[in-house]
Amino acid sequence: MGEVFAGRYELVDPIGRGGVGAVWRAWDLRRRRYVAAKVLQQGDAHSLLRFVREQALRIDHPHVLAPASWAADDEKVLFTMDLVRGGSLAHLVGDYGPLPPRYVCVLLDQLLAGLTAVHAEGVVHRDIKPANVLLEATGTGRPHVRLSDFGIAMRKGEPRLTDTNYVVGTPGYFAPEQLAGAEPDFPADLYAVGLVALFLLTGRKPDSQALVERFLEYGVPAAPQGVPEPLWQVIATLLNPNPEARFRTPTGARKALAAAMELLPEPDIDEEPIEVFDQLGPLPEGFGPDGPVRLTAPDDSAGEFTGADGLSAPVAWAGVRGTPPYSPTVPLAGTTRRYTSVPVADRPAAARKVPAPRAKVVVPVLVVAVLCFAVGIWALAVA
Amino acid sequence: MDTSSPQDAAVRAREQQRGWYGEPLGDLFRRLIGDLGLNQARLASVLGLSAPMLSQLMSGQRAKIGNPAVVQRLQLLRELSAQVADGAVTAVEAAARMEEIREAAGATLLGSATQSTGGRAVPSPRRVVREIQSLLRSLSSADELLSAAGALADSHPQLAEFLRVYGAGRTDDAVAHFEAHQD
Repeated sequence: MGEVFAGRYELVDPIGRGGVGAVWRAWDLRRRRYVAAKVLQQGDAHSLLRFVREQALRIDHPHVLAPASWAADDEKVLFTMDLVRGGSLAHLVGDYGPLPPRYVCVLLDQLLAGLTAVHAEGVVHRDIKPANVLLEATGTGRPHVRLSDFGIAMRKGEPRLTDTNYVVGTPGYFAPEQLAGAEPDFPADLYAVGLVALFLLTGRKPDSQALVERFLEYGVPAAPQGVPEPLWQVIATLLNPNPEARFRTPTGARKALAAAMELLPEPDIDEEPIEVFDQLGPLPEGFGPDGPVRLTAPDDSAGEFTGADGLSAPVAWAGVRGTPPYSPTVPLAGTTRRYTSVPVADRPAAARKVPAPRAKVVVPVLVVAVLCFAVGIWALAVA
Repeated sequence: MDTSSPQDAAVRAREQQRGWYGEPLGDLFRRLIGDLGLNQARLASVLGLSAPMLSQLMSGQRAKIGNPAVVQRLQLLRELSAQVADGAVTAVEAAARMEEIREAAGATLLGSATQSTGGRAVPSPRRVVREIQSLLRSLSSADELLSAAGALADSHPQLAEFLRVYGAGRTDDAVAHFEAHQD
């Protein structure tokens, strides 16, 4: 069984690494569903935590994957997000190479729609790149993009707290003005979308620096091989080294993209269909579709642990338990023993029927436990 | 309606693969895994494919490798596996070479995020060794390094060995030395 973080999230298996910290598949004991959980050291977590606090509840968009909630213990912070199973655009191009232009248009349109929602909140993403654009596992159906990783996102005009904010990000997907140290602004995200578009169409990481040089020397370069002319008109406008000359908004880019798509040739019938696979492996042993499989009998401590949700705040729970994280199946010396001395008869029923027993249930149990403990100590003292 | 069974489709895909790649990819990948001491996940990572895609290609659910960069890496791996099989390349050298292949032809464009198997971009031992070698040789000639090694041989045998191996020895020996002294 996995480690339980802050009494609520049971870590299942590692599913990747973000810019900072590991990403885990985790079981949310309270909401009873699997989530993606990014575990960060408190220090690294600072900017993401700020982001969660300020934005998460407001950026609710089908093409944005923003952190949904967080929990903290002494050293670490954990952020949760929906579990997105289809890998990233980097995986997709790894598997298929250059993607068909019409397919790319669908991906870009969704990415720009998500970006519209982000910009509408005054947030500059600052790290748009193939690995941060995730996909739902839609198989051969229509793809579904989720813009993720707001680790270095910033509200426009917000002061940058440290110098490290200057250097974070992904070299190669930076806009030229970003490299030059300009204040974070929306057009930089649009430039990055342009580079992502080139990556999807050519199957290779675009050479941003060479592009900028060609732009500055000769104006708009000719369409690279594999990029249809109408689509290149749109992408070149995203990639203009002068931020003023790009589209003003992601919506503007979407309109131009829709018009360009009309001019694209019909897809080749022989094209092998693109399938967005489920990139997450099967659940490890001990976990089922409905969460951890507790093989042990009714007086297993799991009952109490779900019961802990009744106390609602992880902090409150941490207060009761002492120091999380801990493993729910390894009985903690002391506490669990006290629990097991409680009459077994009514507890399992309560734990099964009511996934989250309220304080009404937990408090008497605790009281009985404390009584038993007192009796134990008294017995020892007498002996 | 397509009435052919999935088995027929897989047989057809394997025939196509034989035409394109010389043999069915299931056979080819299994041989690479055996010769190079890999597992499926590691092979997928070196080739730059996702694990589900590798498995579809192996089973014939999918016939063609769509990404030309992957085809290139596959070719490089086949050459490497042949060299390992006839003893021209040691296992240690093969491991370093696979790192290079993984990074070649644009694997780095995948970035490190969401790749649990990829991990950080740790330079291969061979690259580190080459750096050390070039640094030493920029300071003095191989002969000078050897005579320095001779002077140190009695008082500091390990330092002497270091100078001899990296300053004047074969790269393969230096890589072996480096790996023996890691962590």
